[in-house]
Order: sequence, then C-alpha cells, then structure tokens
Amino acid sequence: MTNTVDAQAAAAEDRRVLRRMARGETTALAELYDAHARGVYTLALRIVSNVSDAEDVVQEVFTQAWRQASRYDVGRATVTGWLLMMTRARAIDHLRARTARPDGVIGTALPDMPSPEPGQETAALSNETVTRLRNALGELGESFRRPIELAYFEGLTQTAIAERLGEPLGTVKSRMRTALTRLRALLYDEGR
Amino acid sequence: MTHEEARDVLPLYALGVTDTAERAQLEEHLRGCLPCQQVLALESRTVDGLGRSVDQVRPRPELRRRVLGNVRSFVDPDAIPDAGTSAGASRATPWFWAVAAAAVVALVTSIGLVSARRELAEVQAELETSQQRVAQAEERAVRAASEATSQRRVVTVLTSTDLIQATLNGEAPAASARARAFLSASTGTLIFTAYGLPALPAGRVYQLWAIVGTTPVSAGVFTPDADGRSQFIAQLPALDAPPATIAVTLEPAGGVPKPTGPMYLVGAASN
Repeated sequence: MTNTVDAQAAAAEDRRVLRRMARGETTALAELYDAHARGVYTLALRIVSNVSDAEDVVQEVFTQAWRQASRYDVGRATVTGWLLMMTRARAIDHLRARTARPDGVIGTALPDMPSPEPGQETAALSNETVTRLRNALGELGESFRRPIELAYFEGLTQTAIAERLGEPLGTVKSRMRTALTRLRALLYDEGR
Repeated sequence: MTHEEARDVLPLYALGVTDTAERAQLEEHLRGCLPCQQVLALESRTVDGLGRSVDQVRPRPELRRRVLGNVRSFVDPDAIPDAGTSAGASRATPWFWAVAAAAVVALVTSIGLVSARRELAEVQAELETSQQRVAQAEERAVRAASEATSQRRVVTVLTSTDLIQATLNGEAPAASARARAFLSASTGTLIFTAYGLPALPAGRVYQLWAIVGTTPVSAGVFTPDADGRSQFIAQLPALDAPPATIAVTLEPAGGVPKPTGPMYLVGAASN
C-alpha cells in the first residue's frame, strides 16, 4: 500500500514538474531528467542495443518533453508512461533507420486513445507492481512472452511477428491477447 | 465492430500491433463506448509496465549535461526583445520622441533582464555541476562501503574455524572450467570464484548448489563475464550440516528450487 501511495505521490510531483516546464523553467527539466533518465535510457538501450543510439534517444525524448510539456494530458498516461511511450517511438525509429527494415515494422505513432473520463488521472504503477509484472512475464513461457517482446521492443506488426516466429497469425494474436490479459488481470487486482 | 470484438482487439491495440483497418474500426467503437475506454486505460497501464520491466541501467553522467545543454541552446537566454524600429525618425514629432524614450527605457530594461537571465543560467549550470559532483561522490562512497563490506566478509570466512573448501572441476559440457568455493558453515557465507565457463545459452543461468547429505541448497544464480569468469559472495540459509559437495548446474533464468539441468562443475567439500 505504501508503495502504491509513494507511486501516486511521485506521479503528482511529476505533473507539477511538467507544469513548471510548460512555463519555461529549465530547472524543472533537470528535475524531470533526474527522476526519469534511468528508465528512459534503460528502455532505449533495450530497444536499440547500443549506447550511442540510446543516448540520442534520451536526448530526443527530453527535448520532445520540453517542447510538448504544455500538451501533456493527464488522462491519457502518467508522466512515466508518456515518457516511455515517446522513448519507445523514438527508439523504434532509430532501430528502423539502422536496420533499413521498413516492411513489417509498425508506424511508431502509438494509439491515440481517448481519455477514460474528463479529468480522470491515469493511475501510476508502483515499483511493487512492476516487480510483480516482471515476475509474471518471466512465468508466461517463451511462446506467450516472445510475441509481446517482438511487438513492444522491436515494433513489429502482428503479421511480421507471425512470420518471424513461423506461427499462424491467428495463433500469434491469440497468444498476445492471452498474455496481455493475464498481465492486465494482475494490475487490475492491485487496483481493487 | 461489436462490443465483444472490440474487447478482443483492445490488448493488441494498446500494444500498437493492430492493422490500419482494425484500428479504424476500434477507434470508431471507442468514441462511443466508455467501458471499452476504461478497459483500454488498463491495457495501456500494462503496456507501460512492459517498458518498466527491464533491468534498470544508469546512463553516463555526461549525458545529463548534453541533454540539458541541448534544450538550453534553443531556449536562448540571450535573445533581445525587439525594441521597435526607427522608421519615421526624419519626421520627428513630440509623440515620436515620447515613443523613442519609452523604447530606450524598454531596451535598457531588456538588457538588464538579459544580464540577469544569463547570470541565472550560469548559477544553474554551476549548481548542476555541483549536484553531479555530489552524486558522483555519493556513488563512490557507496561503492567503497560495499567493497569494504565484501572484504570484511571474505576475511571472516577465510579465518573462520569452521571453514570448508572445495575445488570444482568441469564436467563434460565445460571440461576446462574450474572453480573454488570457501564456506563458513556456521554463518552460511560462501565465497565463489570460477573461470573457463562456456557462454550461457539464451534464457539460461548457472546455479550454484551446496549439497548437504542428499539435499541440494541453492546458493544463487550467476552469469559469467565474457571471459567465462565469475566471482561473488553468496549467503546460504542456515545448514543442518556441512555440505559434502559443491556443484554448478545450468538452469532456466531466475533459477530453480532443485537442480534440473546438466552439471557443469562439481567438487567435494572438506575442512
């Protein structure tokens, strides 16, 4: 519980920092960097697999965050989620540019999802939940985990994933759905 | 798209793998369906979690300066606001001089502001440098404290009266691998060093075992470096009796409660 409370407090602080950035305070950007650089860098490195590209991605993400701070929508994602969404998009762009593999890689514009309800904030994931999620991912089994990893970390479409794995498209879709639903149930249980 | 169809597609949509037609149909449905919007919010949290499920890596400290410097370069604290033009000066009139005087005041004020902003930027840069130095010093202190603790533990084990040692030889999958283990049976602290281990297959780790009677007790999992070396201190639970054998097996990532994979190293333990 404390962990969840801490996560919500950190998320509220993130939103304050973003409002200050929107007012042009560069010190706020430094605070955002200190709080999130490790997470952004970690994800970028996981996707692009080299330090130089990962550092470029970090620079691009924080520059984009600075420019778009006033457009951040609290109903669509936590600040962490927003930064990771940008990180994933930029990193997959790098991956695509480097591997010159335009076919089968999704456009990196992520779903333009509507806010659940006006004014409703997206709940932050506590570290404890992330640990549970990580364990659950480990327990999913390769055949369920791998399609999700190919989609999330390599930006492949479901068709490209099916080709890569040599599995029928229907099987791949079904496994991804099952895996994500199982993980979602884990998070939903926490929120109860 | 029906409600049921939408629920099927939502996880894939949150993951960003739906095709164009499917995406368009779902977005049409979402616009009028609040429950599906709420499910999507949960799916999106799950996808957020995927991004955070990776083992964290610290970026190089220099990157902070680069990122903040890049943003400052286009914030441009030196920009002087436009103080107006001198068009029409040849037809000077009293109102022109009033405007010109106001412009001069505005310009002087602007220069003052620019100067103050520049000083502020310099102070901020100095503060960041100081913060980085403090962070680096803290990191060094933590590392030094950790190394000192490790050394104390090594000395404690090697000088313990109940020291047990084992030389481990490579089995068939790793014939040239060797390892040494030193264990203080009373404290359960085990020092382990190995070399010549083969690179791990994907999704596998090495797991170290102390075998007491016929019961294997896990001393943890490890991944050797690129040269096949590994060195660490493990903390075992309290043992009923000194182990007779120390062994290393190949196991699935995360380790297992009991050995399941092939044995890579094994050696008899003795006083």
